[in-house]
Amino acid sequence: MQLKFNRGPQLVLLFCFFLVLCLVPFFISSFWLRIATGVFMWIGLALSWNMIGGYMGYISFGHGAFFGVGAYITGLLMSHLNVPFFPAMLAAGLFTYLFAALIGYPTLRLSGAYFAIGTWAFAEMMRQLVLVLKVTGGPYGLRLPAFLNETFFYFLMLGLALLVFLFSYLVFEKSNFGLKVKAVREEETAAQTLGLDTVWIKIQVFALSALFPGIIGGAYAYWITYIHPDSVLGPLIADQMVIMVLLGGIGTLLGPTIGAIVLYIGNRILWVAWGDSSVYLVILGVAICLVILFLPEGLISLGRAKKFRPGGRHFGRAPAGEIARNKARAQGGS
Amino acid sequence: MELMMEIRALNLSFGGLRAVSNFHLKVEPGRIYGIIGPNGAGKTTLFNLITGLYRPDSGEIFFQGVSLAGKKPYEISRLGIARTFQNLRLFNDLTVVENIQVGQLQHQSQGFRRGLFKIRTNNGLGEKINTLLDLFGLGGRAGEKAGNLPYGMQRKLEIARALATNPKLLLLDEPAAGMNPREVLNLAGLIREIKTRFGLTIILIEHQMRLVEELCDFITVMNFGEIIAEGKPPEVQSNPVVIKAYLGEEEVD
Repeated sequence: MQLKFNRGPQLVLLFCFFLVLCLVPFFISSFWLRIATGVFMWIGLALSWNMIGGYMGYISFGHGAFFGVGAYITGLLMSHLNVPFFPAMLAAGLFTYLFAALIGYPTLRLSGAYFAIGTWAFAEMMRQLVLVLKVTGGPYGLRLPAFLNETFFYFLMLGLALLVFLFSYLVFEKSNFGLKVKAVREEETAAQTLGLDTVWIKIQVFALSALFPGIIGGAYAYWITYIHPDSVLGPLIADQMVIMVLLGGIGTLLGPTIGAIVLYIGNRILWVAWGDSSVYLVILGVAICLVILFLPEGLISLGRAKKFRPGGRHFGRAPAGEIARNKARAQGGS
Repeated sequence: MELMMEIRALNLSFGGLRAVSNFHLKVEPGRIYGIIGPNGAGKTTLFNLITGLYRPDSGEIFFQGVSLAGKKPYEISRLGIARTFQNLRLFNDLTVVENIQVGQLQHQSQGFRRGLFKIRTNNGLGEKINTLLDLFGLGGRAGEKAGNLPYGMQRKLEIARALATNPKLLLLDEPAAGMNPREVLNLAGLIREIKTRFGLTIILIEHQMRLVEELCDFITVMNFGEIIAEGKPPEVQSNPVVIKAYLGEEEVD
């Protein structure tokens, strides 16, 4: 809702911004280009997680698995069957979409913490599966045909991030479907008795939120050229998606975008500065705690707080505990 | 005249507790039916059974001749049964208008592509929404979040949202809970108005005897899941069993 694509100056501004993004790779070093590529990848992932976690209020810790499965399917198709990259990547997305619908059918009956644990267990199961299978190379990982063109991957990830952003905007912010999804989040029982097929809606959202990580995982595998169960199926992937969304502002369009940018770049800078020790992880952890404690609605509330200060009693001031309780109640009450 | 709804020998137990026991009711179109009884008598459970949130152990519910057995809540809603909740279940983080819009969504296609990308028209609010906003005095607060409304207005919004589904049968679960006598009187007028304007049949659960006496054509009294009395308001009021179980308490205050 924050972004309004009204005609006029905003559209011009948006176009200029896009133009700058397109020119960026020709002016920055390959080190920063890789970081920029990574930022776009994580924007796409955070916004995907936001579909299920933010708009629907189901906290999934299993979304790393869709990223990993997408990466492995693309890798297998390309290295074993010589499928070209783009069809392989799209096939990976299609597979994770259908796979998620299948996984969602039983797990979406759970709610709150149980859903989180269920999805986490599913992700761990996928990691173990890839570790023991022969075709995936097990613990030795999988090597893809190398394509060393950093500019290509910059534009690929930029395109994917834009795709997820536009999709979120149209489907979750602007369409009737988005309103149904929010209704399910706010009061599932009431949504049912108002004639909404909540089971169908939940499965649909879960599958959509897995479609894009599958595609992005495929792009990542081709970019990095070597994938490994711990690098694409480790728990850290899902954890980072969750943290980025919470950091930026859950259930919004700009929040996860900002969260992804801040966390990924902050992560890199800290790693460059203190990378030889693990101090950087501690600093990162403290920073995240501070934001959650003082800005429970995420970094995006910094911009909003100013606008709504007069009369807005629940912005910035509300005790974190109260908001956490409200959130828990909203998620738990099904 | 074809019956709007018929409930036959309905039973539901939770463990050893018989929540609804051998319940029956014949609902004629265009009437208002009252269901009264002390707390825990099984009234809300009855609504949950009708709307498909619970499955009965035995017994049958027919809506316009169609059996509701095995139907899901959303299917029952689409047949034309809408309800409100005793402990409000609004979409608190959505605006008043959005709450009502959700009620209208069932009439739009669930088809994948059309449903997914059909852009919401926020500007043309739709005639029905405007009518409902005016009727319930919510016009001035259309853009406000439902959770920020005062309690009385939240109760009204629940009814407005239910009406947005274009129901034939409206189930009201204690619509006057927490209202003062003047608001109750106002609500009685409102219920009568929506009944004629939208051609509704209404079943009303209520504690406030005044509202029930004023509105209902037929009253069923429940206690411990069972029907202990039924009939027209004057008959029920003079029934000694009812006075003992329910009205007796009420006369104290």
